[in-house]
Amino acid sequence: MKKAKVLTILFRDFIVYHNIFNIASAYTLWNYGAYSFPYVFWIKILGYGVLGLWYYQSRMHRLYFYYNLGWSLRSLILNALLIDLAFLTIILMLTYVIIGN
Amino acid sequence: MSLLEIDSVNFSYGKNPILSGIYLKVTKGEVVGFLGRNGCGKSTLLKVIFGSLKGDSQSVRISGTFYKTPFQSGMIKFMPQDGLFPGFLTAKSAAQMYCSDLEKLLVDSTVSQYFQYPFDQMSGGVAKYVEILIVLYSPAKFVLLDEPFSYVAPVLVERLIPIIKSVAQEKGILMTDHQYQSILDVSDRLYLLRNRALYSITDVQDLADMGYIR
Repeated sequence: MKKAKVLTILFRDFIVYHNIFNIASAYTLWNYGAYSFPYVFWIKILGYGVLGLWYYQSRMHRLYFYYNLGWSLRSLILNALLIDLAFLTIILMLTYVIIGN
Repeated sequence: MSLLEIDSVNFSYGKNPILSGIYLKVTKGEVVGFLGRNGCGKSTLLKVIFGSLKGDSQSVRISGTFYKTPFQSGMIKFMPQDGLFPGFLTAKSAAQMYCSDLEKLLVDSTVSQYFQYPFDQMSGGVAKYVEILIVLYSPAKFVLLDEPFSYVAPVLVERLIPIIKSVAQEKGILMTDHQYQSILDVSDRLYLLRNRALYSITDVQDLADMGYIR
């Protein structure tokens, strides 16, 4: 329960910027179909780079909130990636279903 | 007895050495303060002890047990100088997440007044004061405070000093700040970080002799 709350707080920082890249991925898939998956991959990599840089530049001190709860940087990144992957999968599946119809 | 012991701390930024062979111990029941000029490595030392920064070498032991990343032990908490909690979080949520003693927290009039407020709706000084109390009243055995008096109004600093002393009866506190008079008031032991090493300070004259004050 506490873990879920920590991840919700972490994601609240990212959610808007994150979904910009997720929607860009969905838009690419919408326009170019299944052949665009390599582009989706690179859009996400670019997104992670931009978000990482943004967090590093402006919010590094926030990490102490998570460190105090016993979370390491590695576990934060891993959990964030897993949740983002789930988000992306749902968005891409929805896009694919809509294209199919 | 709870003991936080740090030794062989060496840290450098590139080829520029900041800390060299630092040894320090903090026991339950005491406040240890250290002072130092800007850029001498005060925050760096706290971060190395906490485990968020890796030095060239360091050994941090809590009650005899070595920890590579001490913050993962759950026995140590750190209050950075720039604030701690996300702005959208309320003081109540933050206190609950840090398992702070709500009874003791709510005795304080400022905390009880702002308890339901998100941190970004408090002034900077009040937010920092509330954050410090949440960290102090958490169950951690050791608390590291980086410039706790900066940005905090003098009246709140006056209230904070006896709180720190009282909390230190149950835990060890290591802190640094530029308000040396407040650090002198609150500390049981005091050091000066100078030329990459820690020097023991017994009175204000020592600080003058070492060039920290005039």
